[in-house]
Amino acid sequence: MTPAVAVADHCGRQAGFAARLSAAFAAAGLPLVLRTHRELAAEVSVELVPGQPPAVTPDRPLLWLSPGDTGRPATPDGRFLAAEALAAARSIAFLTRSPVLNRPSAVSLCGTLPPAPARAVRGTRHLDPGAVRAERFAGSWPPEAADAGPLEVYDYATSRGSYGPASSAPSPAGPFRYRADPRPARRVKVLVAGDLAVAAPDVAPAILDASRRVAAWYQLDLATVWWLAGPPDGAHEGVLDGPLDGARTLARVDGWEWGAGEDAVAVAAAAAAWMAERLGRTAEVDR
Amino acid sequence: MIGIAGTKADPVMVHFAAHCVAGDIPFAVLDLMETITSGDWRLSVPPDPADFVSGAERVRLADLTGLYIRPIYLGRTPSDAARWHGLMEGLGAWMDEAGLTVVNRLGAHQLNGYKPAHYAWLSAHGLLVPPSLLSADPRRIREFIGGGRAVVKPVCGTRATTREIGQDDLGRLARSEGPVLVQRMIEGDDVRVHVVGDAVIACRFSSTTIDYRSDREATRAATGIPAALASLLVARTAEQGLAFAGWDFKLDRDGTYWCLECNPMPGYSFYDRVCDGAVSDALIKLLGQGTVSS
Repeated sequence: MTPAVAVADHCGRQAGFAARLSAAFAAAGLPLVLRTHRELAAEVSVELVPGQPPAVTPDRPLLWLSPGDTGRPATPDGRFLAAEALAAARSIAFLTRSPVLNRPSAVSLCGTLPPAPARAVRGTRHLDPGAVRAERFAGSWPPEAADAGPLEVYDYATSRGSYGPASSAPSPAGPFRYRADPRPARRVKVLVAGDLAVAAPDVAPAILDASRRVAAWYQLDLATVWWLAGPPDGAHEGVLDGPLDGARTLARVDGWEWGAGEDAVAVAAAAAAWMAERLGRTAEVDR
Repeated sequence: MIGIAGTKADPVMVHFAAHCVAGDIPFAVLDLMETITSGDWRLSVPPDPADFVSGAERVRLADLTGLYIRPIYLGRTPSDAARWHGLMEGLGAWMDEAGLTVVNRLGAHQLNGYKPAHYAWLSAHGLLVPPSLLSADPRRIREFIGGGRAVVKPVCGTRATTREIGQDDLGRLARSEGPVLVQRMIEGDDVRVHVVGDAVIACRFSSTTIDYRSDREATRAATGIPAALASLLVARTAEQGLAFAGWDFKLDRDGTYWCLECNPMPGYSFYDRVCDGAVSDALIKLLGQGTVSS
């Protein structure tokens, strides 16, 4: 059986995830090999002849899991070679005829997910209008934000987000992205793998369905969708440890899976199940 | 009023602004490098009438009829990088939802920087593309080169002078650290076609060198292209989410147009001079001005 290829930074920040993937695929009875972009590009050829479909050799099932290897090369030549490896690997993943998890598209390196988080969230507003907030971006801390009520603020200088009244922002440097803070609400993570959606038991089915729609819209086979989920209408903040079936607000959409969280084993198993299904094999993993 | 967003260090931006000045076309400059180093901005999604970008001047975005953006980053410090990141994320989101014409939105096709995928897309959409091979296998490269004259190109779309590759180069390739993209060389004139909305402007170059861009003696002139090809290019430009694109062709002795690539952010000033400013005129018209300078 042709092994599937997990294209990942398996020697760098995805090393732990790669090990879990290998274990999950082994448990599912599926052979798996690990490759970086550069390693993939070194062993695959793409030939284009007018009037014929592109020929990718060898054409293997892929898990497209990484935007690049750890660290920025120090020299211009090194950066050029990294760009060449990425361009070659993206082309291979784009043109491979076998199943490709999170296949890159003409508009994105990962499905059709915009690379900017704000554009990714706002791009789903037609799917779930009540769940997508208006946003603002500012080069410096804007005076009107002080009267805007509780805010969720992202500071590009520190790459950190914070919640609360604008006046509580700790020594903001900016620039900023800010939007209304919808709390009381709890941050909820939903993993989507194909038709499967996995979350904490108290997350409402409507949020799981909404997560599947977001992932499908961006042609993502594996995605993490983050929400701010509220308690039932009329409940107060104290019941946030109860069922989360009130208002929902989309917080973030991730297409790259680093496998660093507590659910890394579940993510790896879901990826193996996705591939088993595409290859027509019975998934032997725990779904 | 047309917005011109970019940097004054970009000759294409300067060329377009100069054309607006010559034609008495109202425009505002959004110098994005000045914005991140000494300016400010407020951008909203959905867009708000008070949204602005300031650098050398303060521009209220609601006053713009169209926006021509060439986001070229020239910063050097971590602070520059953070401010550029924040500005581009805000501007990208704003452009997605603003109703004005934008040349070009950030969500348009990116395949030009991934050449084998780009060639495959072009080929699947009605363009004739020369045969090509991406490989790190010296045997396959040798076979390809043995089949006829070939050129080597960057895979990632970095600007580079196209050059011929022969059997003598194979030893060096075998020691290279990455895959190589080779393409069958088409002999003939070069034709550059700019599509601006529905407008098609073409110019033709004859040169004895492999890459006419490095040949000061190349003959050059505005030209026409077949109507069917023009219609196809207008349609394919729009399908890529682009309002403005630069298409490169080789025209062989049989009159066949071989597509080399579609540039989503064409550095068009050189070609505009060959075409007496017709590309700039079309851009001005597209970006919301009812009159053009010539």
